[in-house]
Amino acid sequence: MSRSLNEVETIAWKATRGAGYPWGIAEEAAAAIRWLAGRGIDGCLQLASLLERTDGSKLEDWSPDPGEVWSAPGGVLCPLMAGAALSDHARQLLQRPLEFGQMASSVLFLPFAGWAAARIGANLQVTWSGGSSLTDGVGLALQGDPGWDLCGVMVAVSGDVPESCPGASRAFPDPQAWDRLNEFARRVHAPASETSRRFGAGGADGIDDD
Amino acid sequence: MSGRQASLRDPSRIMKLARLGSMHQSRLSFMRVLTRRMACENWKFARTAFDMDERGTGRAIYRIDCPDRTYSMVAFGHDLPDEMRSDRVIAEAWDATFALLDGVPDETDIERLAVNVPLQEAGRYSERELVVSRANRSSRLWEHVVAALAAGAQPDSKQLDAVGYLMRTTAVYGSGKFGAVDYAHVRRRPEFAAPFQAEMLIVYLIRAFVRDLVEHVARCRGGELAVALDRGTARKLGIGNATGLGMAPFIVNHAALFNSWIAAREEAIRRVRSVPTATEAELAVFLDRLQRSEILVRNWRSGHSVQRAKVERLQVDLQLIKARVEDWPVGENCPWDRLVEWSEAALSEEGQECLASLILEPYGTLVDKLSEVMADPSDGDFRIDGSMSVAETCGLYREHYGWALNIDWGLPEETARAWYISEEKLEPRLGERHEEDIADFEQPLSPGRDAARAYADLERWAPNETVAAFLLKHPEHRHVIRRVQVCRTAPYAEIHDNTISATMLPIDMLRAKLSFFGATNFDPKSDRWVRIRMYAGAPYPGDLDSENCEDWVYPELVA
Repeated sequence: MSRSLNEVETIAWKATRGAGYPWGIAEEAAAAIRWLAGRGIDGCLQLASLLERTDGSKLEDWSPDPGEVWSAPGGVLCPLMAGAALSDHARQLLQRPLEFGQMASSVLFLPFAGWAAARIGANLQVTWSGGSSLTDGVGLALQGDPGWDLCGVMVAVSGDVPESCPGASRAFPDPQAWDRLNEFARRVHAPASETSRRFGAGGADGIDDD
Repeated sequence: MSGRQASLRDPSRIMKLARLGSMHQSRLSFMRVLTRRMACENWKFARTAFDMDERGTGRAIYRIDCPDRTYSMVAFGHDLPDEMRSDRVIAEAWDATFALLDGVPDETDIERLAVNVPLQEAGRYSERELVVSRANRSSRLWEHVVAALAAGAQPDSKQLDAVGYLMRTTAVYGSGKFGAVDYAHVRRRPEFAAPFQAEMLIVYLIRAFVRDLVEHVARCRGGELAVALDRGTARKLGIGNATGLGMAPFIVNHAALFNSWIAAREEAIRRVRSVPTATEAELAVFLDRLQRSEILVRNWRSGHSVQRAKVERLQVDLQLIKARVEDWPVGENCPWDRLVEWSEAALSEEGQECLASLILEPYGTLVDKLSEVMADPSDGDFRIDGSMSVAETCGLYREHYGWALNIDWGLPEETARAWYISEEKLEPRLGERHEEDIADFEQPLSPGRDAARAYADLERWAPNETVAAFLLKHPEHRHVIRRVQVCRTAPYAEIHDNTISATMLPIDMLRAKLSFFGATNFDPKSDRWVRIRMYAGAPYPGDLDSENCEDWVYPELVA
């Protein structure tokens, strides 16, 4: 089934928050899933797998420590946390490439390279053991398998120019991944209680009499 | 020419909830932007199918031709039993359901829509659909009007005035909801460049459908005896709308967009205040709209004590304005600026905002083009500038969130409420944080408190450190670091008030948004939902022209 980009963005936002990430990172996840969908890539499967992997663990373990190689104290980087760091530290790329340690569900990292490219006005190449991507912030050229997992990632300014890819206006998320994301998204909903009914939280109950 | 440039009004005054809850429609309201465009571009409207039975069950199609494209509204009539007529978003059946779609539907489209549109949220929509909506009859008025027309008489004007509409919408869904097309995909079409234009278009068409339907049902009942609804009477009728809490978070969640709306109106006010002298003709337009506003306000009924008091005071304010501009030396230096300055001490906030909208009326050439900058060019996406220093970020917080930094967030009444989404209803709700188990489910709708928390942590960092370094250690502040950076270029993005305090009124947030739609007759039904009228006074398709597309909001003066 095709979904609007708004729908994939919303489910990513809720699901990431439901999996325990801060709101600001949920916003990044939502924008990332939409960025990928707009370039014809379904990130829902990778997001669902990532959230299942990080669920219940401490976020610090998955977050990058700056250094020669940006790696996670727990051994595996979360692409959302690493991506946010890349996007925030984009200007460092003008001095030198940034190297990241082993990363989970790394396709989710690509939008952040796109945003970093847009911020510094340069084309960025992301390379990993199975392939590479090139982005100028708008276009994205992929070589190799975008579904790679658990390998180191290098981001560097590149002189190559990506071919502009036609924008996709619809998303085609994997149905099972969608259901898994929905399970996480449901966690942001508060169970109904007698107290909330008593307080009239919604405020407009009843049949209209006009 | 003095060349004097008036200043923009300060966000710290404008973005208070009490002021936002006193906003009025203006030339930049989305309904007026649409009627102006439809008239100027000579849009053509046609009812291409109307297959309805005597109870109002069936389907109808309306076709709209604008310069470059054709759109269609498909309507389904359902004749709901009275006991099922609820204004709640969570209702499951309605008197009529609608979809606005790109192009002209073929039989396959109609069948697809017939299966999905009556289900509303439970249906699925395609890239062809722009907006989905539904409406319920005013049970009080519908039967009266049908009975009167069927018997060859016009309905009682008192009853019509008391309600003001024959149907009210309970939701208008656009922007990719339930699979419909994303706004980003159609925003480059000139007719959708201003916000909510597709939504405003469907409501305009629903109003035409409602008139057609009530006359049709009356004709079925009365046969030869039946008469059409008097044109003047029909024109006074709007479409009602019941808006609940669901809309309140929108202006917090779309801060950059909300800034564009407020900033456009503020810039319009600034431009008019900078006009060196007013001509007699300009003054005449102002006086005409002022007089007609008196009628609008006199007919503004509300059962809510807070709103009723505000309306009573507004009636006094309109008299004060009238007295002020009598024998007014329009040739004096920047008369509108002086009038606005005077109003700040002399009028209530309701009166000040009404005046601020009224002074725009004579100045279409200065104002109207601003409707083109009311969308959010980044479509909600804003990238954090990680290279910003902690010192600069703290400065931004002091500038844009000073009001929040001064609140003692340890006091229970300052955090009395929490916004959340209930599993049962899947719609935004407002709970009592200290009495319900909801804090863990809180939505990020308290920027003030979150800004104060981020600021407290930032203050412990060296001023020359970067936001990038800070966010590595404090990802919990990321959403509100983004907000403060949005404010750097969008000073009207943030509500300068506590959105979770014990005394906050959600209807103020609803009013702010609905005033930009162009709604009138705000009638709060509690502190968290409000009834409004849309398009009351507007010419119907076919009657709309460049003469009447602008001032229809203001009721005609009775000789």
